[in-house]
Amino acid sequence: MKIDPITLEVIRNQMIASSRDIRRTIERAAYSPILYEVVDFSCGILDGEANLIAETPGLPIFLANLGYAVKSTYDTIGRENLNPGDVILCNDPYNGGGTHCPDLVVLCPAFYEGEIRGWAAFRGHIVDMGGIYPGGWYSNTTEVFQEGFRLPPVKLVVEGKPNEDVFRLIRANTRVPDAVLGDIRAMIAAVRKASQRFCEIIDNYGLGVTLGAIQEILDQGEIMARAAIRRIPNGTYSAEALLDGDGNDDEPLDERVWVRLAVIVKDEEMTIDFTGTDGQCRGPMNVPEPSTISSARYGFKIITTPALPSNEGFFRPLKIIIPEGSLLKPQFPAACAMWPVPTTTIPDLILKALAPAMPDRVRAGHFGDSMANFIYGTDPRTGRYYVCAEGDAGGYGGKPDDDGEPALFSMDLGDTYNVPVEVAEVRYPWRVERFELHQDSGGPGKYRGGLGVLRDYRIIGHKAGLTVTTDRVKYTPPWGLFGGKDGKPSITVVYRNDGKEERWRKISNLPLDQNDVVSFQTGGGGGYGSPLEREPRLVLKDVINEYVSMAKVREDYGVVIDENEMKIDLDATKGLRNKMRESQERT
Amino acid sequence: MYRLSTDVGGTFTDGVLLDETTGKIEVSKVSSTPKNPAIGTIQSMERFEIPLNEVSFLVHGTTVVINALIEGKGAKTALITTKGFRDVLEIGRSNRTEMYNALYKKPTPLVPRYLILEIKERMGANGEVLIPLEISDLTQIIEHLRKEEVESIAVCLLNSYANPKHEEEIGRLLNDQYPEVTVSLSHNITRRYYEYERTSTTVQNAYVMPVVQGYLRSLEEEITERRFQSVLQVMQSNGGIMTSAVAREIPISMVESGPVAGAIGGAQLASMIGYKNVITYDMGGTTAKASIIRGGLPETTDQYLIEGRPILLPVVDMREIGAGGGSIAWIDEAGALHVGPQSAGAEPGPACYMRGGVEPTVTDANLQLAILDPEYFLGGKMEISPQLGREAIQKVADYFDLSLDETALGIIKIVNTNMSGLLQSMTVKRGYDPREFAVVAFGGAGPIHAAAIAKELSIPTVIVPPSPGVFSAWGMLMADLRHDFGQTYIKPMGDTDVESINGIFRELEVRVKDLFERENIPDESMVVSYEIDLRYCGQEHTLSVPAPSKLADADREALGKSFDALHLKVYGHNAPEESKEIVSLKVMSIAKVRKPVLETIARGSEAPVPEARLGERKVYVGNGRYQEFSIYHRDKLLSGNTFSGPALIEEATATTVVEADQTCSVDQYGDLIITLNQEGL
Repeated sequence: MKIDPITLEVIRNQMIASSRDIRRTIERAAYSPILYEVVDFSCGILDGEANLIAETPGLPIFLANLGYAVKSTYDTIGRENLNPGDVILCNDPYNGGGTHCPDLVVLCPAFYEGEIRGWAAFRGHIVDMGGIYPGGWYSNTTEVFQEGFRLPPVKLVVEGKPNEDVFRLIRANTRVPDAVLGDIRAMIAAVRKASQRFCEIIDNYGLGVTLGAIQEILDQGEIMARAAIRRIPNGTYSAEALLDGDGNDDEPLDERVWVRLAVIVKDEEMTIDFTGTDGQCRGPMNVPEPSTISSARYGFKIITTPALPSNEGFFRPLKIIIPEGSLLKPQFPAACAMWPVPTTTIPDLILKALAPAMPDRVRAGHFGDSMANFIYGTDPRTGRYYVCAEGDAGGYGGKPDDDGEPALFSMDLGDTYNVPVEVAEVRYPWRVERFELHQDSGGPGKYRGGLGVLRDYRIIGHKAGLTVTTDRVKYTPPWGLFGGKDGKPSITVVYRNDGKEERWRKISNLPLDQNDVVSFQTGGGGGYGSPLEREPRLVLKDVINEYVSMAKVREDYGVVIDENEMKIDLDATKGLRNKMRESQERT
Repeated sequence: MYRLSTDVGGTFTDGVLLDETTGKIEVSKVSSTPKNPAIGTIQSMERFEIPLNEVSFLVHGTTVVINALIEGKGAKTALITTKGFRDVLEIGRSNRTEMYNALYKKPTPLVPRYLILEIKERMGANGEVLIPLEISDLTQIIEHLRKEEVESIAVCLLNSYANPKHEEEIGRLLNDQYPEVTVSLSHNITRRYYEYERTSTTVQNAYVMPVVQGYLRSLEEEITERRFQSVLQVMQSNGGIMTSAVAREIPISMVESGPVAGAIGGAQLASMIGYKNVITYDMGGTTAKASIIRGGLPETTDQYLIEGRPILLPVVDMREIGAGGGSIAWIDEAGALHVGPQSAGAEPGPACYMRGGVEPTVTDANLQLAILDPEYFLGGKMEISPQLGREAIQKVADYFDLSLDETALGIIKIVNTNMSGLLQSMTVKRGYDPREFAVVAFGGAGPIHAAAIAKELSIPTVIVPPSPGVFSAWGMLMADLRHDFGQTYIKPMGDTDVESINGIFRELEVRVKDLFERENIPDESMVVSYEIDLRYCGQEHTLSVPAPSKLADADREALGKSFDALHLKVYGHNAPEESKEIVSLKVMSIAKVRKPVLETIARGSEAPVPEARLGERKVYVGNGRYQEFSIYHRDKLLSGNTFSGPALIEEATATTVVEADQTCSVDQYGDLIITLNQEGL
């Protein structure tokens, strides 16, 4: 059925509005900071065949695999066994979840005249779903069985009535049942509302028109994507990154892990091929296939149609090749708690690969890790057990005409918010001693990489545990582009109360004593273009603003500043830069 | 005596004059003078040709604050903060609002890093002093800032919401040793937690303070010269007014000065004619704005963003979308039709304005459909070209192979559903049913679209006030003095001591009374209300429930119950068995301004007088059908006139549409009351 352009636009806008409603409800009614502050979730409206029709900005890396959850529900429960009023829950990485155990997917079918015509879907991270240590995110598990309580698609609500058995199972399997069940209640309310909206749209415009409009919305997405691919020169563009691997720093499991990809552009189609990527890990760095697909789609969206909201149609001209049994398509029961580590780097690598083809639309590498960290213990003020799950922001790479952005959450995250210091000090038994930009962390360049942050927590009056899983430290720091230099990588430093200092990339369940200070020190972005081409005036400005220390000005930028006058010595700068260029050419 | 209001907008400065003895209203419209907005303001007053010593009440709404923020033309500002937390502004909340944009740019701080200075001190979250203030550090800071020729200073220390002692000390010393700069202390502006948002608010206040002080000074000089003897009142974002003396200290609270006045006008108008719950709907050239009035008061929200920078102060919750008369219809690469958010603005304006615009706009579409009369545009004062409008629409019509009329109607349908979506999300978000509201429509384009939008949402009534084009300025005349204060106070509800809550309520009252005292408002004119923000333990966001001024132990249960009920209404679920937590305490105080008695219009019979009837016009209504719309001249309509749609009511600054299944009647003040006929519901 051909839909008139006016009705089409009206239905499109209403679909987007319904997915926004999900976000609003969750944000305001959720219990866990990871949902309401950190916005570690995504919402989407799908059609009956599991195609994404509309999305709400949230966590981009979650989006493209909402359809997988719907398909798993059909396979596991059976489409014919679903009824109006049902709400489905799943989190099994290998059946319906597609990420790791603490990510819950809640789905509500939209029935119309006895048939499933659409789905309202939500995927969000909760603070704990059981597993070997609190938080569900580890560096050293070797089987998915250690990582938490797994649910294949199950009916959380049966024809409008809560399935108390499932609620009891969840309550019994999480360390923080009140918060988790509170979050689940908010999720149920949100998807129900959106599914109802979906039916109202059909009521208003008729079934045939609505279904026709959905098809057209997807077709138009495809047209936009094809037009955008056509603007990229044909060719094969590749990039690779050597990841630090998994296991705790003091007991490594897989020490060096290659992620390799090629982006093949042919007229109006694109292939992202992960051939050459290492085999699956012994530890938890494996990425379940649906999440690999998401991260490739995310990168694809960034380089093709960044200003448009997503739907399934955009991805029709994209082919994704993932080798069986690799890190990016592991076999059950491979551990996968740390899946976001490779998927944070994948979209960054796609930008890097395409840099020669579209230099004015990419930036240098970002700090490259979500800096996921978990601190947990019993709050001495209340006697209650707490689990804090957070990420930390870092620097983004220099841009074709501007410096990189400081202190943003990593690429796998999106419209994610940090927990304010004043909120953290009310909620957790800590004192925040410092939260500031990380001087000199940005990679030098014509356009400098953005700065990372330093965030220090002092543990007050109790013993706690810490898990961090930072990557892109040892082998692949945030890369520069076109002569720009690398940014400084991230690290977590623990200043013990006896004056000792420990530096960690990955560690699970590290005991912390009272008065220990945990310092998250995130990396900066890479530079864009040679630092010898940076305008000296901008270098001076960086020194005045203390983004760059005086000590780095000569060696990194070849700029000479008169420290008494705080003025640039232009002649000396010219001479020094010439000398540096010559010595670069020699080597 | 008279009451006078002036509302400075981007294009026009509007004035409304009310004669207190007769209740008669006059309006004026002059071009704004962006370089010195005071000139336009004075001109709008002079149009009325009355001596200003006969004006007893003068209210002013201005864009001076928002312009300084948007154009980056504020003062050279410094920030003093707690050691270790220098980068609160630049780190912000670290979110990316455009998730697929590789080249995303964060809002840049208004203070460069070298002007952000740390001082050694630290408060705990409970207000306990962890590190005493090293006040001697301030001498060096002052020296540095003097050398940099800073004009304004913001002070925002960590956890100062819980204990402002250190900020106060710094403020005293700055006043003493550095009197030539303006100083903004965070706790004087807001005592809510969230350091980024509070710092951002304080810095924006400091940034605009010298600009606003200069502007108000020159405006006051001008009006004093013209023998004005009363007190200049300024419109605030929260929907109340304040004296210019208070505005000089908290200028950031007037950032939404103009737009919120429409909401206040809507609230006042609705209560005058017996409606408690209304949606105000203000559509102009580039945007449409809506707000919700419940129980006679506009709904407010505690935080909003200007240029991506948060302001943590109560503001009338006004949502805006890019849908106005100038919104452009365009076709994307995949062949889909969209309308807005780009606008042809005032220049070049819609294609039919003959100022070089070639893109089809909403106004061009209304002209094509014959909703607008080319011969009577702006009351016949402006010449427009239907031909140019037609040519612009033709491009879109050709692309889709639709008729010109069908295309024009499509443009209107899209823009209408975008707006009904806005209204729906505002009501539904709060758990309200839009059918329990009436719409008050104004702005140049509001009355054209309101009837269709109301119909789509099954809203039974639309109210169009006289002179809808200057309704915001009218609203200012109706505003009351208002001051709000909130204090973050986090305690589990079960073990709070009601006396300490009452203590904070009293403290907040003192702050409010202090402001009113400076505004010469006696205590007995104040109406104070109290609210407590609650949540279930573990949640972050809160809902506000009304509280008694003096809380007793027994009130706890009732508060808990009203919170449970509200949570169910707003979010569709609740958990009454769970423990609850108090997050903040709020005091809202209003000093009512005596409301003027408005002039009523002459009473007529049910049928309008023949002179009111200007004939008929064929308007395209879809599916190849044209309908005869009766045309009425608004100035000739009398109280009690009632006629059914389809009809168009024309006046100098607006056209009102009444759809086929709607009836329009005129009330005693000349308001058009459009109701949906039974069969339409």
